[in-house]
Amino acid sequence: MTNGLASRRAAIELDVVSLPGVRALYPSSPLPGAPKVVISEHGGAARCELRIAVDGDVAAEDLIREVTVAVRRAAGDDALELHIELASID
Amino acid sequence: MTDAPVSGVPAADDFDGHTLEELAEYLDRGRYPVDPSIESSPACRIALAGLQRLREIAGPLLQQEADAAARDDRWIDEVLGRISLESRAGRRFPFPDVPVGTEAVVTEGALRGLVRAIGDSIPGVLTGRVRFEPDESGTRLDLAVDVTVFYGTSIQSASAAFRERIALLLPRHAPFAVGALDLRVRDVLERGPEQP
Repeated sequence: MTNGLASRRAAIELDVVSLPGVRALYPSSPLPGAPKVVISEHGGAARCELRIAVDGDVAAEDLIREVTVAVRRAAGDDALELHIELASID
Repeated sequence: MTDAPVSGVPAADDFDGHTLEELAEYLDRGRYPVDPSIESSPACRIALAGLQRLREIAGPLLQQEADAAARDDRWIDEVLGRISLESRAGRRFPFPDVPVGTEAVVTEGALRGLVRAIGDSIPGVLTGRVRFEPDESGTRLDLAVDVTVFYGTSIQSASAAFRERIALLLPRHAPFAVGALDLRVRDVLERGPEQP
């Protein structure tokens, strides 16, 4: 992974867990050391994958919109494709 | 979806490598010291929430049963078995109304945990098996939920409260409205905890 991708990943992690309604950012797999944010690039298009725990008081679709904005802003890429998994509701 | 047996000890890898017993012990310790491998697992967090509510709702009863010479803990086994089986991620349901370039899904395990939390929030009710299936249109979720109620609880009132809360809260977290809700009372426990 390039430094650019690593720093984008770190920025996304920080911004997502700071959002009201996001309780936790889960690793991408149960394997030890698995990343919490996965960014891949294919043919110039970047894709980001997240698994999160959300607050039961916040409507999911509102939160998805906020996460989308926060991730793209942190990545500095308005065209970033996103896959978000709501893995638990606290 | 399959109807798996409800009793028996979960396999060691049921919760991303942790057992239900380990999670119960972790809860006993007040989730301290923090175990990242537990806290970073959706299945573990869903199961911990279920265990926590079970203790809050049925704590006095659990103690009574633990003290009893002839212990009948079938209902406890059933609830624990359900927590174990239903905390797994399972299917992913996509949200249709999301920003362009975004795909978003909610897991079956997250929704089961939510339904269970809604049921357990009703005084005198403990949620058992939770099953659901999208209807043919894909816009509504048909649910079948088994519950245990404590003696003295009005089943009619509890059922009405369950329906009302599910209809209100589930669509906030799922890409579905609530369709049919089949609520079955499987047990009435004679000795319930003190109700507020």
